[in-house]
Amino acid sequence: MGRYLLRRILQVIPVVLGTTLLIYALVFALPGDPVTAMFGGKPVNQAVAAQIRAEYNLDKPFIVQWLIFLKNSLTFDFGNTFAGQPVIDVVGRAFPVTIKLGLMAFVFEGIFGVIFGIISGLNKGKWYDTVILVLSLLLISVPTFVTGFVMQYFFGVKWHILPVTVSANPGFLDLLMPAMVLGSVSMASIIRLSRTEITSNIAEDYVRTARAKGMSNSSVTVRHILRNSLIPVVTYLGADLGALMGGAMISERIFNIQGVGNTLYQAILRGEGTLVVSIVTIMVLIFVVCSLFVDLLYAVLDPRIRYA
Amino acid sequence: MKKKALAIAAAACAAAMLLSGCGSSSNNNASAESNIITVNGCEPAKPLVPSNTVETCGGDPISEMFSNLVRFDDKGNAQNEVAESITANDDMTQYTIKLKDWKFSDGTTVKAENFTKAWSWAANAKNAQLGSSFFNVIKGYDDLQKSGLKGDEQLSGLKVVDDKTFTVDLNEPSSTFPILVGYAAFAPLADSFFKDPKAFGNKPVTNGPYTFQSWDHNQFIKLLKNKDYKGTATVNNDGLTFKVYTDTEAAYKDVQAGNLDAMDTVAQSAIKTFKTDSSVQAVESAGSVLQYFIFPADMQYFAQGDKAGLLRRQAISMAVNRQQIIDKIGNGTNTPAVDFTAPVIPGYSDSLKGNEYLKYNKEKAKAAWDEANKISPIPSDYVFKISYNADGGGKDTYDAIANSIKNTLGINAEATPIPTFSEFNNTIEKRQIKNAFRQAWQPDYPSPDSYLKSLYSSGAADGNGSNNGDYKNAKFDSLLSQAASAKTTDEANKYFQQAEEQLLADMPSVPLWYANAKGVAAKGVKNFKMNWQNVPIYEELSKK
Amino acid sequence: MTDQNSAIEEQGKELFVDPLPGQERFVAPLEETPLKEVDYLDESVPPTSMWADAWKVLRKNPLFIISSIVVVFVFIVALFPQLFTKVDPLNCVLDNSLEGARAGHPLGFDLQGCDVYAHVIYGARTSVSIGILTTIIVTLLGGFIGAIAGFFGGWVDAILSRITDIFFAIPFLLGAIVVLQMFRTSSSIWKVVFALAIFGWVSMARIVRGSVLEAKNLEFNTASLALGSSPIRNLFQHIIPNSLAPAIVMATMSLGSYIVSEATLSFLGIGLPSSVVSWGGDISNAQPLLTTNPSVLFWPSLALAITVLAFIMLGDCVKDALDPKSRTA
Repeated sequence: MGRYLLRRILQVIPVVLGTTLLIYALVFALPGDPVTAMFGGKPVNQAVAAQIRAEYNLDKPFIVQWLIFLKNSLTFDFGNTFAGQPVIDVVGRAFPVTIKLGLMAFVFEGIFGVIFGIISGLNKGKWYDTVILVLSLLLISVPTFVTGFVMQYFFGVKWHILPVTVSANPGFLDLLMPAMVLGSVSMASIIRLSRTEITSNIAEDYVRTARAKGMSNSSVTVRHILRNSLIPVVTYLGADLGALMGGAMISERIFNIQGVGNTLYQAILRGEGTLVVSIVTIMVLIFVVCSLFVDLLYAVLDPRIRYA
Repeated sequence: MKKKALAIAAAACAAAMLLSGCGSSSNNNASAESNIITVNGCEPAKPLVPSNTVETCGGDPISEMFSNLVRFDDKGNAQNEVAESITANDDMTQYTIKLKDWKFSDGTTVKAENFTKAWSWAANAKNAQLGSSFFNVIKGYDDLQKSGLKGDEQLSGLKVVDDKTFTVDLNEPSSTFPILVGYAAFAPLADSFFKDPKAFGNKPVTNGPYTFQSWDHNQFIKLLKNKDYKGTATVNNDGLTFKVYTDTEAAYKDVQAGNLDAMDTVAQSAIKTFKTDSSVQAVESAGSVLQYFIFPADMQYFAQGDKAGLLRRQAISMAVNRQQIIDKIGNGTNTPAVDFTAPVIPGYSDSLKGNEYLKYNKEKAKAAWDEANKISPIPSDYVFKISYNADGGGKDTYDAIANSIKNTLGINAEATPIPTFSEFNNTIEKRQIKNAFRQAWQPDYPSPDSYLKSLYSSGAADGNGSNNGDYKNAKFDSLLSQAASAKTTDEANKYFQQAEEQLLADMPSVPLWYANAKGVAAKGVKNFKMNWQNVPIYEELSKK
Repeated sequence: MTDQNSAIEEQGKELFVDPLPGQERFVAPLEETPLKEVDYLDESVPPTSMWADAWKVLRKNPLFIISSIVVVFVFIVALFPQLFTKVDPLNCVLDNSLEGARAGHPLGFDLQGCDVYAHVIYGARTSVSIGILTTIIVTLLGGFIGAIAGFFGGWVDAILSRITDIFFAIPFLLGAIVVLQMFRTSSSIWKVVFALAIFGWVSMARIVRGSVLEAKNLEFNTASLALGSSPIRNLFQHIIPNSLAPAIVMATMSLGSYIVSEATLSFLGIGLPSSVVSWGGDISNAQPLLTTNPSVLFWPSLALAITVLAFIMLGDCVKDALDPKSRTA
């Protein structure tokens, strides 16, 4: 296990290198000249444009840009944004709020997803199982931005229950609605996942054995059915944590949250390679750590899977 | 064992994200007692240096913080601000400028040198200022575009006479120079700027109605009333806060909820309701922004200098039912265009010869189209395309324009989006769009010159300016230079109108409508008005 | 020191404990136990496959029948929209903007004056094509990579899993935005499919890899290998069919999400042009009308929701049928 862990940690290096290279290549391949765009449709002074290109190394091939980025990032120098701020400051401002938002969405989808999944799974075929199932499917089949606008309109504008948009230092209530919108699709998936797992586990031999042994109904449910049913749910949640941060783009836009999604989207529109790469690299690191845990979980939870 | 492992893994994963995730919650509701006005803004694309700011995110706070030689009133008339007088010589190639007693926010005096050094610094290519080309009218500009500059070379056309006087030599005669200097890039800069421009950009020393308080990136830019200000603007509040929004929908909902005092635009979803929305107060007035679309001069079947091409351009223009599109899509919040400038601009006329081509006329449009086809037929599977940038909210409008052309002329027409404004500009810059494309123009200064010269003169064609269709007409050019050297504004306007009639005869573009200035304010906010540039007059807003 | 024989004898003594006095060892005759019926194997019919078993179950499942009918219906609408409406969805006259329902136009008109009903009917083709094409590409690509990684393990798995990580780490929506922007001209169905698939295959690869890993270690596989079957043959004969269930669930669930993603791309302004009628485009166009004309938003959303719902239910039924464990429930 120790060797496996070490090897996986070493493998993070090529993943980060690969991601930064891929992102650089993608941003480089984006059409549109970021420097021309800075002039905002006003006459472009070519001498000035050349100065700016040189300043941001935009006049060099992308592989050189990438190498410069790597070299500088060894000394934690991520350069400046087009707006002249250090990239590290921009990243430092964007991440905290998105991490908060992501964690809240994570907790929300985890708790409600599992609760409804259990209710539904243990009562398969009852009317409220059907209601839960249909509602969860609706959440999946309606685009997030529609869900978001509908919620914002009713809870925020019409009934004044929750803040309409998010202020500079958001608290729990500010982020509640955005987190619910962000976590809604994953919650629906978790409901479905735990429901399926429970219904299939109820029929397992060990459950029958446990009942045959004379175990009480509630301890069979808790100790055997739920425990085994939640393994895939936890795996799903682990992988979803990273995805939530990336998916925050829509939620952040609707509720005016100046987080990672918004910053990233703007950076793409402006063609700011360094900023895009820096943000994505951090997301990759978070993601890689989570996915390592998920893989380790597999081995721990299911002895049939072995890692040499 | 299993359970424990689960818990640890989940906790570790969460902890990795939590690290910087904890922050305190606080409410940012502006207190009712203080007369600080919060308005919608956006994150400036550059540090707060006037000559480096060519977009509104930085431009709005900058125009509230800096006073130039002249300041435009809400009608767009230039009034002397820092300038005591601006006088031209006989052939309008040299201006002598005298200054009033005026102070920067750091207590230093605004001297002639603060203007000349600032302008030279801005024009100098070494300093990479986005607004540098505004200075190309001044003598010595070309010398500052060469390589190997140090950055402190001065424009040879600027001469300091004494602390309160300087002269400007121009490359060619210009009657509009006294208006041009009202543009943000021409602001004076305090001495401290030249010592550390970078620090200045984050904490500018100002001389306008407001002083800089703080800039919380991606959240707020806060300005405070300048108590020593004695210029032409009336300041009714104690401070201005520009709150950053990335989506106008969110800002609109904040005005409804009372979290935002005023916004300079109206969200797309509210365009039909904002005037009757009881939770806000709405403002709508004629504006200076002209929406139009261009035919590239060499566009196939529509080329300049070709009789069939001219007929088709006229047919397309007459096939756009401007009033109906405004009514149905824009809920009547625009005004159909009858010229190439705007009603709020001095010299505007609604009775130019040939402006019937800008009016919807199904029969005439169809007739012109058929006549063109008699001269040189167009393939029956031809699709007329109009390109637009998809990130600017133009989809509904351009789809409607395409449908109007399609239904009127019975041809195939389609609006083709290009994802971003940046990409859109780039393809235009490289002349890669071979069909008609969307344009909008917000003038830099209130003169027909800012529309006509920038958009249609030969000098601005071929990538040297904003003449993106590369329209060239010697007669038009000469009318503009006659206007530039005219002695009076009235005389200049006469030439401008003749130049516009030439455009109507050649139809290089299709003016659509003047975008009305529209915005909303929260209940209880007083004096909410828009100026000639479709921007709220922020300094006059008040909550008392 | 005891020899081996005596050790076995010792064990034997423990297993076959001598009957105590008064006890008798009794073995019931075969005819008297129900074992014969339980283990009864009708050798006169050929053995049925997993799929045939599943089909038997599916035929009787009402959910399967309903969702199949919906899916088939949606396919018919997508293939032959002109059977359902005579109105050209691209014939939009601004005079009709936001007009209500009237004869021949049962659902009224949208902002551009296009017939909402015709849009819903013609939108099926685009949305279903995007969903199906993306799912096919994602399933083939992701399934292939996941199966290879899980089956071979070792360095193949390491490399493929790291590549998967790279693509997985880049948010799906973000990747799609960048890819769509790379095409200079406006989007087409294939471009949207490409953008969705290129970052969408990773989840599939991970799921398939996981289930292949699991199936590889199951008894039947070990048994088959012990009987001399080649590993590759095993991969196709045993492992892939047995890891298919999660892949099918994943595929049907994401099919819906791809259709939804197309709407999100339109919302971000990089979706299909107006000349291509799609539910996603219609939803994103109608979204600003949420408070004033909700019905324009409602109909395409309903069509989308029903279709997505049908595909997911179909997938659920197929999964249940393939998985003998949940079948007994």
